[in-house]
Amino acid sequence: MVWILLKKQLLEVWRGYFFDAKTGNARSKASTAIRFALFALLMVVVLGGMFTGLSIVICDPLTSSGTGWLYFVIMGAIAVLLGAFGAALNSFSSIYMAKDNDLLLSLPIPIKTILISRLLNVYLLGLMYTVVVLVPTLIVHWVTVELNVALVMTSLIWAILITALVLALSCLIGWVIAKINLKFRRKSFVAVFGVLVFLVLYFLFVSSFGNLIEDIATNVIYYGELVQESSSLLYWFGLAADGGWLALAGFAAVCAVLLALTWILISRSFLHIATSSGKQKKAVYREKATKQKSPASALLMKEFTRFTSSANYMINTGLGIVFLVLAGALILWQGSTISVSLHLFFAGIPGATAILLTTCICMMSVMIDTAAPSVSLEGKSLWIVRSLPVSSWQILQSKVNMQYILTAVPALFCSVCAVIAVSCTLMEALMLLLVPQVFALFQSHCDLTLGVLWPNLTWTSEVVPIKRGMAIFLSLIIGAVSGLVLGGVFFLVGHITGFTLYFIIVIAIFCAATVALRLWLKRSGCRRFEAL
Amino acid sequence: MLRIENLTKTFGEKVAVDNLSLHIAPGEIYGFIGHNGAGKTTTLRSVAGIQEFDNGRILINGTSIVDDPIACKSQMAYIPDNPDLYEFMSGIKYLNFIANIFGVSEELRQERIRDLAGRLELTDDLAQPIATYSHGMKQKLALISAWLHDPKLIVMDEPFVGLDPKASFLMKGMMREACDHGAAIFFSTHVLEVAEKLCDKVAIIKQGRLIRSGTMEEVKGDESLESVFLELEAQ
Repeated sequence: MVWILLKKQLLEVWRGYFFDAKTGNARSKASTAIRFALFALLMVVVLGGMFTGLSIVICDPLTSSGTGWLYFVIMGAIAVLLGAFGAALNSFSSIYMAKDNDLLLSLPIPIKTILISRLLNVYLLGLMYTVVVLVPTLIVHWVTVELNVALVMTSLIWAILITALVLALSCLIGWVIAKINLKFRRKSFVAVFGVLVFLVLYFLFVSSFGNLIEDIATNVIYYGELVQESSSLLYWFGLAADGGWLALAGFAAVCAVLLALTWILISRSFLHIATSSGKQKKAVYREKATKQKSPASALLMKEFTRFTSSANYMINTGLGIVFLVLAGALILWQGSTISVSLHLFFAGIPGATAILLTTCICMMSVMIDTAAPSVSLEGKSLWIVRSLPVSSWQILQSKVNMQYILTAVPALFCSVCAVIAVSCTLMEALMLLLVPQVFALFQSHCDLTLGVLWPNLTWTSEVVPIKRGMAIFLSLIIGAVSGLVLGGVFFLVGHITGFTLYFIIVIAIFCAATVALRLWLKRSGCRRFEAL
Repeated sequence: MLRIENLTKTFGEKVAVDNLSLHIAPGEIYGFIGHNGAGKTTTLRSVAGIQEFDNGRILINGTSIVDDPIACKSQMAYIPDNPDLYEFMSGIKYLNFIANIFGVSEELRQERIRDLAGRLELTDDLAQPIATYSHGMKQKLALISAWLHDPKLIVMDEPFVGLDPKASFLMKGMMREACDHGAAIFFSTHVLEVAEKLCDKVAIIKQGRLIRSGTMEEVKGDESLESVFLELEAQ
């Protein structure tokens, strides 16, 4: 039974790879293989490559000085953080918020079995995140040091135990989120706030991480003694992988106890949380006059209500808004320093500062991609808009408009801050102000096109279209590539065309692409939408 | 009000609706009955303009749903068998959304919401998120939203499912009232007793084909609708 339930969940997660969401037909083997190859490319080459590089940098200095355990402390901590926080929101959504909870609970399936299948699903996602850190960690270590059986065995068992630890931690974080979700009325905003606090801490950590690693690599003995003296727990955690059998037994015991406690906590609270609507005060209805809106603004408001009602939607598709605002404030604050540094660095290339800042603004805009999952998010409610006296284009336009508004306003703020803080010519100022706006227009049309091309209306958890859809994946890739090309090409051909001509060409290309996408959406896009 | 001419819809090799023709006049309550998978929902969805069809014509007040869907949809309301509404909205937000789309004025919507929600005893829950509603409450909200813009044609798929006895009784009254004011209602049901008492006309569909239609007397004669239906099904 567990296997049947797990298979159902896995099929939902990977369904897009095997079946066409629109027709329900199985994809060709080649099409499935390409999808998996792209995914593997992202996981193995991009993420795996990053952690392989880090392992190579720190493994040799740490192991050669006899503090191999510190290597495992650093890499293990990264694996735990990445895995636990990566899978936490998933554990909340897939354990407590799954739309088929009621259905499964009504079937003659023991609750324990449902829960085990859900936990296995969370485990597999956590595994996916941790493996990209742990595999390079182990391989680099085995290549660097003189191997013996004990070392291989302890490091392997340690890695397996880490995946169990990640499962326990992600479930516990998911449980905390579920409890918060039950308590607060404005739960989506509370969740977004929580994620933002986490991100601030994360970026503070990442910004000092490079220096810290460099420092550790050059002062191995000092840091080794420091960790050993101040935190014996960390020391034992690292030693467990470095041939310390006793430490490994201790680590295994800790993981076992934590897993058991997590199981007890989750199995006892699952039914209550999954079936509870929260201890909220009933909202009292007071009749009041409501201003009449046009159909277009009603559709737009509907999109905004959808966006602000879901923490998952806001966090995964709207984070760029926060980044753009923070970047604008940072530019205002450190504008003169940024300006001087960039002018010094790119002294011989007129317009380079404006191009770089414009590229940065566009790259942050890419993280706002609300339109990509918006068609899929209509889900089973699609009949509503389809039965209303509005055209398909009006429906699609409201989705484009929301993303454009969400991107254009903070991007304009960031651009204005840049123009104020960084000394630039009139043409450079125009580029800083105009290009991000045109890019936002292009990106919102592009994202909706992807959403129409890869819809998924049969999800049981909204996380599926928001986080795992092909539309959202391609949106990030296309956006990032477009942004990078915008900046990169200037440094290749900018000296030939000159800044002004390059600026005009960029505007023309994005405008032409936007018009082409808009025409496609108005004709083929609407037809595809109507056939859903 | 509604004219369906030679409607045909196939899904792959399965013919869901086969050359179906019907005419529903203003003021009529038209029942649509048939076993599960007979083609009722496909027909109703085609009428509502949310299902493309292969052949035939559907005219709402003389206008083709294919040629001018917006003009047709602005005159009608549709309620599916399972009202999956916007769970991220509150009841009142949903009603205001629908009212805005149909251009219902501020005064009129306020008056109608007060009246309809009051009758269906949903007023106290209008500020609650739809996600917290029971099936019956969602059904009531869907009914209010359908009646909100005073449609000329109301298309409903199994509208009595999930309603409590009082709400069912009220709804029957609302249906009759709407038809007395010139609207037409086309709805599917499995509750043959309701259809027999409520409908002016009835159509029976089997494997996508219309096997009998007409006034209640023409269809059932001296027998009960249930026995006629079972007899036709057995043939």
